[in-house]
Amino acid sequence: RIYPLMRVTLTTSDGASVTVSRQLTKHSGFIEKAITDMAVDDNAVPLSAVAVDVDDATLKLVIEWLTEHRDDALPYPEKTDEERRADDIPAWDQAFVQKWDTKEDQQQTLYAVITAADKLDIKGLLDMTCKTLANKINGKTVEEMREILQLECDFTEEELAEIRKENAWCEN
Amino acid sequence: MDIFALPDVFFRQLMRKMEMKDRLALRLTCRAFEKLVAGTHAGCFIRGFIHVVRRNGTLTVALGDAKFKGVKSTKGAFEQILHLRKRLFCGISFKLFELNIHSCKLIHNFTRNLTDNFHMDQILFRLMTDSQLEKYLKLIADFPRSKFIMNICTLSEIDKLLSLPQMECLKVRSPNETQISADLFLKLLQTHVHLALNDSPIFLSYDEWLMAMQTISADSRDRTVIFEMKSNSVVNCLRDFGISDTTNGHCGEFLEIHNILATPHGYASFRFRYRNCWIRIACDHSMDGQSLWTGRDAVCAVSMTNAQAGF
Repeated sequence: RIYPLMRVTLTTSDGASVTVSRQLTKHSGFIEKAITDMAVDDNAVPLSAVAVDVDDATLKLVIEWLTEHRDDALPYPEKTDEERRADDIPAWDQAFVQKWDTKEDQQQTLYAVITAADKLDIKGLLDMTCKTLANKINGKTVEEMREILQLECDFTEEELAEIRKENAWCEN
Repeated sequence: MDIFALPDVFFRQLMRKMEMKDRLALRLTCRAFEKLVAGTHAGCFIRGFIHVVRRNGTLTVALGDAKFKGVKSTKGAFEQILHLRKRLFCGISFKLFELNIHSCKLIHNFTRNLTDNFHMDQILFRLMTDSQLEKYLKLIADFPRSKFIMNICTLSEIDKLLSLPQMECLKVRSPNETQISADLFLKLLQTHVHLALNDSPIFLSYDEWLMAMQTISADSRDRTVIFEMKSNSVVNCLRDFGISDTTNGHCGEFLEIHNILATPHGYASFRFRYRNCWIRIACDHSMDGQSLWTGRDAVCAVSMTNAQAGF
């Protein structure tokens, strides 16, 4: 049973406590499991022992996303064999990601939210962040991909030439 | 935070959304991504195919947006393609994968190696020569979880159709006017989900026609059969059912009878329902004033289905 008025207190890795409605946390497989494992049956659930490494700033973003998506259907549909697409991110989610300030901050914030979505087992948020990064690199050149993903090329010139030669079978 | 600190589940999900051209580019970014590309599933693509270009014997292979064109049928060329395929993904899914390949052992082995770890919802085989059939049957055995579609453009020994396992859709053209007997027709109808038999009018008796309708009607799956008959054979069956050119509405077990003399496309059509089977008979001789009932040797297209929505 889900009690919409029930409150859940989450303690972050940097010591902050955030209290949210159970209506939001039902989207987190991790928190749902924690609540079930604790076998609580009242309207105040302390979750100070939740052992996830998520800081306060990231958790606030996660809660903001959960608030917007509180009415999303559950369980989140499995999409393993559906056609690839990353162009169906809702407008609110796009704006949510875009407002993360400077380019470098945006990438770091994105990675932090991805990590939080994974640890808290929020499938919808993980899916959205995954699509966001996919959209950033789709159709980009090798150099642009390196810049976006902040990668250092650790190939030798010979190795690069060999991979290009292999790829050429597909590019003709 | 370094991108490689992100969880594995994220990378697996991300790599399922990459187009092949992006996987090719990602291979060149750094060693870690080259390894990631090779070790992840490429996701699900709508369509892929392996086709032999008949005029020069080369192969065209399409894996989603990745195309290998003009591949010569040599061991060396195939090894290069297979090597690249192994570095591009560890698994891939297709809604539909088409095969139109020679029966030669080299191409057959290449196809088997290339499609290792492929999941294909449906595999479409195009059969242009008799010799392809045996190889296709071996490939079918490799993919027990797939559904199969076979388009047969020629088959000199028509009874070989009986060797086919269940097809989601079997289309047979008989350009040599090879006769498909009523017995063979009914056996194919029992085996395959959707059946289309063209260029070879079938002669069905009253009992055989009734059996076909009962088979379609009783099946819980969506079923369709399309075939050709001479209009005088059709009329004989209909008259045996008690239906004539003046019947409209219903007649015994036959319901929703509509006799349409000419459609905007120049076809005369006759439709009715038997239990859960909808039947449509179309003749293209309305232009010279003939109808189904007077067309004699004219060829009619008969379709039977239990999926009313698609009728």
